[in-house]
Amino acid sequence: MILSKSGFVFALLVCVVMLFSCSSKKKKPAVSFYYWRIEFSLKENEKATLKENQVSAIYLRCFDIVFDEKLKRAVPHAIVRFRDADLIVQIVPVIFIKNQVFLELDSNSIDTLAEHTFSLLEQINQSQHISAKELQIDCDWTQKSSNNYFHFLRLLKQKLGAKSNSFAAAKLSATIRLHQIKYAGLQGIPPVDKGVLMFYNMGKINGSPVNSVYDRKLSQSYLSALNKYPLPLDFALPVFAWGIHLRKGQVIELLNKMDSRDFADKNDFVSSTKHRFAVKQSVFKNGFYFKEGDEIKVEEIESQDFESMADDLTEHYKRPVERLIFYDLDSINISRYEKNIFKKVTADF
Amino acid sequence: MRKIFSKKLLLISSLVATVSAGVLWACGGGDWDEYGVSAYTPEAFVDSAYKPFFYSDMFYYEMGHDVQHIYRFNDEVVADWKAYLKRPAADTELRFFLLKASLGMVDSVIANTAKTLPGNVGNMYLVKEKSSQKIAAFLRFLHYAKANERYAAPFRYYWDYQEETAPLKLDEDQLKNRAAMEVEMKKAKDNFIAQRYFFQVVRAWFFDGEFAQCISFYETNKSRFPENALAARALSYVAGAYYKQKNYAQANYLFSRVYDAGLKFKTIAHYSFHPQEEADWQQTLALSKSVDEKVTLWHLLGIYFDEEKAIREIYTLQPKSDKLDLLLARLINKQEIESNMESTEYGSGNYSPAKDSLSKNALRLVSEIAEAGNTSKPYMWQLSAGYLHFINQDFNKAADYYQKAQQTMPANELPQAQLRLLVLMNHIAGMNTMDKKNEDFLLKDLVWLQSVSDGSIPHFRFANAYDWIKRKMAGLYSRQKDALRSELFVHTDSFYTNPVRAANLKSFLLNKNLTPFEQYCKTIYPISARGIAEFQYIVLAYEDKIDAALKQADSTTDGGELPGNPFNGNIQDCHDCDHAAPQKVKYTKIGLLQKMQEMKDNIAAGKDVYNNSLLLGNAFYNMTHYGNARFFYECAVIGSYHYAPDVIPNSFRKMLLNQRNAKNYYKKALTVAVTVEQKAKMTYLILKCDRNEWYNQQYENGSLNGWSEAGFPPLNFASFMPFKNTKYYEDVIAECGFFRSYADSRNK
Repeated sequence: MILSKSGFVFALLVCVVMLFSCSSKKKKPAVSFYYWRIEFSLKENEKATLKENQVSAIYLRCFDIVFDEKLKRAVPHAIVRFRDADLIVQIVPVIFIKNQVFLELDSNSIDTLAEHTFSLLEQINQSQHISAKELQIDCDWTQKSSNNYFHFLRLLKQKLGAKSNSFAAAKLSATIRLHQIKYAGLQGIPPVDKGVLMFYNMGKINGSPVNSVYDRKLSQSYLSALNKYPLPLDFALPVFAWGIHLRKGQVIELLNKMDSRDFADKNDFVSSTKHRFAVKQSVFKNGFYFKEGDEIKVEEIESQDFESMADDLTEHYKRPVERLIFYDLDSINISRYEKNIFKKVTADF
Repeated sequence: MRKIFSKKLLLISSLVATVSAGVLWACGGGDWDEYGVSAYTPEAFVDSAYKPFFYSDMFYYEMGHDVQHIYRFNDEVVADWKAYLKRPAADTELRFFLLKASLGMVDSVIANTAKTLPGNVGNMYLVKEKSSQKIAAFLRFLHYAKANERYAAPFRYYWDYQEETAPLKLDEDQLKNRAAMEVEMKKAKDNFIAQRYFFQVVRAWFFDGEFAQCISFYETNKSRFPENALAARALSYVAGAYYKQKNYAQANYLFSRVYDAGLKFKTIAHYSFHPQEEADWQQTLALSKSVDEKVTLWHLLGIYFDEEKAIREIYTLQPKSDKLDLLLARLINKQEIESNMESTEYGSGNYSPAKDSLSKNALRLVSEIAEAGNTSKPYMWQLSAGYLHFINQDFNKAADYYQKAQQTMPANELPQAQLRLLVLMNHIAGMNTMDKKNEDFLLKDLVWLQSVSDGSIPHFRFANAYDWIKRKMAGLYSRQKDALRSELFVHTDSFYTNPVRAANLKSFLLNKNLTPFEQYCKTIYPISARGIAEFQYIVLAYEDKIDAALKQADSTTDGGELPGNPFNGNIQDCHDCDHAAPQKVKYTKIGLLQKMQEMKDNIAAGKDVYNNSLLLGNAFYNMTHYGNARFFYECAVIGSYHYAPDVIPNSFRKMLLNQRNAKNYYKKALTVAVTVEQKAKMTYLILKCDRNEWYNQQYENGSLNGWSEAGFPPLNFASFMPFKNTKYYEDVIAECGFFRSYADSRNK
C-alpha cells in the first residue's frame, strides 16, 4: 500500500513541478560551501575563496545526532564551536543525523528528539546572532527508517513556521543521495521544501582503480530519474580528496584530507600511477603509520571533472538550480584549485 | 580523570564516508570470539598488565572502549586519604566527601557546626572532628578541588549548547580558585596536601587552555613530590598540554612515561600516544633517557602499528624485556587469523594451514630469536616459532621447536596445555593416514582435549583447534573410505542417506566391546544409538512401511505428543489453527503409526476403504513439511524447527516435501468414493498435493526463494469445476483464494 500511495503522490508532484519549471526563468546558481569542521574559524585563503567566488552562504554543520548505545537514546555529538565570530556570509545550519537514530528510536521519542534538536539549534543561532533562512538535515535514510525520519522532518517544518524564533519562515532542505533518487518510489520523498543532491561518494571504497568519490560512468547510471524527482534540487559537488590506505589489498583506513602531494617524497613512497603509491619504507605521516609494502590510492576531483558533472547534471535536470554547494570549505581542499574555479563552474549550469 | 583529548572529535561525518578497519575482521553473524579463530592463548605467557592490548576485534581486549575515565582512580583517592588521616574515618564517609558531596555541601560542613547539619552528615566522624588539623586540611582542600571539578569533570546535559561546548576560558571565580590553590600548595608544610594542590593546579591550567603555564608550573614544582600515581596523573596532563601545543615529540615521549607508571595508566597512555610525522617520532626516540624508555616507545609503536618492526628494535635493545611478550603474542594471533584455519577442504584429507598468507619476515624473525634463546621466555619464542612453521606446513621444523620449548616450559597448567595442543595439531597435520598406530598414538591427547572442553582451563583457546583436528581426522578417514569414522569426527547429514551406514553406526554405538579409541569416538559423537533408531523408523514411515517402522520403534524412541491432530485434512493448511484446536485423542509418534497400521489393515480387509484411505492420506500429508505434524520427523538426525524448505538439511528435503504417499491414498479414496461430496473432497485434496509438488519443483529449479514469491500455480483447477453444486465446493470458494480467483476468471 505504501508503494502505490507514494507512487500516486510522486506522479502528482511531478506534474506540479513540471508546470512550475516551464514558467521559471533559468539563472546561474549561487556558489556556497559546506563547512564541516568542529571549530568554526576561517583561514585567510578560505576567506579569500569566499570573496573571489562571491560565495553567498556557508552550510555550517552545527552538530551530529548519534544513537548512544549505552543510554539508548539519541544525543548530539561534536557540536560546533565558534572561534571566529566574524560571520561574513549567510549561515545555513546543517545537522547530520545517523540513520541508526531513526532505526533505533520508537516513534514516540521522535517528538522529543525534534524538541531537543530545535532547541539546540536555537541556542547556537542565538549565541552567534544568526538569523537563518534555511535549515538543512543530512541523513542517509532507508526505507525502514523513513517513517521516523519523515515524521521528524514534519515536526521541524512546523517549528520553522513559528514566527518568534531564529528560523522565522526558514526553508527546510534535506540531502538526497543518488540511490534515493533512483529508488524514490521505495525510499520515499522527504517532506521538505527542497533537496540537495549529493553528487559524490557514489562507489565502493576499495582498492580497485574506480574512484569512489566520483566516477562519471557510475553517476550516469543514476541520473535518468533525476528530472522526475518531485523536489526542486540544489547540487552538492565534491572538492575534497582523500587517500585509501590498503594493506594486502584490503582497506584499512581512510586518509582524510590527504592527496597526491602528501606522497611525493620518493624516499618513502613510490608511485605507480598518478593516484597510486606504494610505501617503500615504514614511516609516519599526517598522524598515520604507513608500513612498508602498504599501498595508497588517492581519490581527488580535478577541475575538468566539474565540466563533466555539469554536462551530465544539466542534461538530466532541466529545472533551474538555485545553488551549488561545494564540499567542503577547507584550506587544503581549495589549495588544489585555481582561485575562482567555483564561480566558473556555475557558468556550466 | 577525564580523557585529555578525544579522538571522538574526529567527526562522524556523512558527507565524508567513514570506514572501519574492524569490518575487515568482523564475521557475518554467529557467536564469535573477539579474537577470531585462534589456537594461541596470550594469557599463557603475557603479563596480565598488557591484557587490554591482546589482539582483538574490539578496541581493547575484553573491554571494548575504555570508559573508566572519571572513575578510574576513585579507589586510590579514597585509600590515599584514609592512609593520610590515620583515623577511623570509614570508607563510606570518605567516599561520600570525595566522590559524592557537592561544593555547597563541603562549604556548609566547613561553615556550620555539626549540630546544625542534617543528622546523617552531622553525625559523621569527619564532621564532628572537623577542627582537627588533618581533617580541616582535608575539608579545605575539598573546597578547592570541588570547585575545580566543574571544569575537570563537568556534568553534561547533552542538549545544552553552553554546557556541551564548555567555556574555553575559566571564569573569574575559577581563576581565583586556581591562584588560591597555588598559594595553598606553597604554604602547605605537609607534602601530601601540597601534592594534591599541585595536581589540581596542573589540571586547572590544562583546562584553562594555558598549556605553556601548565607545563612550566609542573616543571617548576614537580621535584618537590614523590613519583607516585598522582604524579603520573599530573604528568599525563602535561603530556596532553604538549600535544595541544602540537609538540608531538615531547607529548608522545611523556605518554610513554605515563604508560610505564602502572597498570591503570596503560590504556590512557596508549590511547593518547599518537606520533604524527616521521620527524617527530624520531625526536621522541631521541628524547628517551634510557634503554628502558626506548623499549617502551617501540613497544607502543608495535601495539599500534607494526609488531614486527618493534620486536626487531626491542630485541636489539633489550632481549629480556617483557614488553616483547605482548608483541610476539599479537604477531602470532594476527598470523594465525591470516592462515584461515577455519576453512577446510573437508573430505580431501589434504587440509593444511594456508602457508601463502604467512609473513615470511615474521617467520624468519621469530625463528632467529627462538634460536638465540636469549629472551626472558625462550620457551614462548620456541613455541611461537614452532607454530609459525606449522602454519608454513613445515611440520618437522615445528616439532623441533616444540621439543625445545618443552624443556623449559613452565609447569603451570595453561602454558603446558598450550604446548600440548600445538604439538597435537602438529602431529595430526603430519599424518597422511589414520591407522591403528596413529589412533593409539593420538588417543591420550584427544581424550585430554575432550576433558578440557568444559572450559576447565580458563582462557585456553582450544575450541577452534579441536574443530580443526576433528575435520582433519574426518578428512583422512573419508579419504580412506572409512565413512563411519569420518562421520564420528564430523557429523554430516549425507551420511544418513544410506540406511546400511546408519545401521552400522547404530551397531557401533551399541557395541559393548569398543576399543578405547572407539570409546572416545563414541563420546564425541553428537547422536546416540537411540537417536539413530528414531531416525530409522521415521524413514521407514515415509516409505509407507508402517509395519516395519513399528517393529523398529519402541517406547524409548517415541518422541512425545504431536501438537495437532494428524488426521485433519483441511481446505487450507493452518498449523497454528490445528495445534490450537481441541483434540480428543493425542497421538505420539508411535501412536500415530499404530493408528495408521490399523487403517492399513482395514483397507486390506476391505473395511470402510474410503474413510481409511482419506485419513491415511491426511496423515501422510501432515507428516510432510506442508502438514501440521512436522513434529513427527523432528529428531536428532534430521533436526527441528525447519521454518522453510531451505533450512531442512539437503539430504532429507526430498523425503519431507514429497507428496507421493498422501496423493496415493487420496486417489485410492477417490476411486471408492460414492457420493459427489466425497469425490469433490478427494479431487480438491489431490489438487492441494499438486500445488505442493509445483512448489517443490519451483524450489528445485531455484526459481523460488520463499512462498510469498511463488505466485499462482498452474494447476488443473478445471478438474474441480464439475463439483460446482456441492457443499464442499462452496466451502472451498469461501476459503481458498487461489481457487476463488480461478473460478472468478472462469465466470467472467
